[in-house]
Amino acid sequence: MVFSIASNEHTIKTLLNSRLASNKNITYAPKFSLSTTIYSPLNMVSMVCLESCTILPPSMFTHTLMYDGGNFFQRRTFLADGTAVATQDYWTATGAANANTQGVAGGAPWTAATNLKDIRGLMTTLEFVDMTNMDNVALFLYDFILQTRAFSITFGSLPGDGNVANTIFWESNVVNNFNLGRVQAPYQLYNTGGQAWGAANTYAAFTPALLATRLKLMNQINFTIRSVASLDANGGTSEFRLGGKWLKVFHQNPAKKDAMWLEDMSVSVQLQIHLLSHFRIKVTTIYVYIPVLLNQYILVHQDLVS
Amino acid sequence: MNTAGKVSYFMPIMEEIEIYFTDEWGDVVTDEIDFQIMLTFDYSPPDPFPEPETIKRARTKYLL
Repeated sequence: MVFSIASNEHTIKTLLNSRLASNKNITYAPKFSLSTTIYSPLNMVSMVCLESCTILPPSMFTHTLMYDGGNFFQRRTFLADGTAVATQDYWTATGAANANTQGVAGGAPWTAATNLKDIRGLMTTLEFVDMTNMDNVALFLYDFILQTRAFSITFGSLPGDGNVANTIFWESNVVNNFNLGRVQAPYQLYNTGGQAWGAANTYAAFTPALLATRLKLMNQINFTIRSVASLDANGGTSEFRLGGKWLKVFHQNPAKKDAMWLEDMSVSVQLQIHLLSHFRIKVTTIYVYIPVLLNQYILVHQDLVS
Repeated sequence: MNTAGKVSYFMPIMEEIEIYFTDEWGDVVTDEIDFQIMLTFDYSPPDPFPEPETIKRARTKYLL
């Protein structure tokens, strides 16, 4: 049931609200039964016009996108001569308990998977998080580095940074025979007065709050993600390959999962990512489908501009 | 931008409307979306053919 208002004898306005749909069997394509059937006069040109459209787009981190069958986030390891050794799944699997013994005498080798959490799990925790808040974005990126134990992220520079790259990265930090590691950042950019971490009257170490303070100075965040050098220990090298619908989160074309694009999506050769400020699906087109007669329908599709 | 889909048809009877959305890569958005839209249906009857005697009657009335 929807409201229809006849503003004059030749115009009918119809207000459609998703919460008042008549049939939501297909949740993403609701149907509306008109309370009053619209009969147009015989044999003339009529027009249907999309007057206005207000949308609350869904989060990028919903089950639909994160669990798409085509998603992958792989690490491939190579010997020094370039021979491929193994492919590790970082999207749905982890390096398990062995991962935090890498870098410890007698511990797991760096050729094993390093991540403590699967990346799909990290992403799905964000579905109901307000990602317009830069504190939350900073916390996520910090946690991403800490849990994957494999990446560095380089953000754009700000005036006054000089030649110091704005790069935060995972760093080995063995404590009591465990190497959970830590997120490290250039003290010149993040610490009080540009002094070393732990100097008198400064911060002891890098924190998500310090990252958030800096991100809040930017109205658009671009960053480059790379693998850290510790993965290349033991004479081998590593590269990461990303693909699938989930790449929309970073405003990357999901068609890049095609094999010919794999090299371009390799993190080890630098992946530039534009971070959507809202982390919500950008809905660009609306389709209005109106059956009128047997085998006849009106299809109105309209580009939306946010 | 807010333009219209303009279609011609013969005596349509519209009882149901279905809505869906796509993203910038052309994929149908399969997550549920909160939205409110307004559609306007416009139709105007064709101008009637002028009566043959209209002009004569007008002249008779005003131009005597």
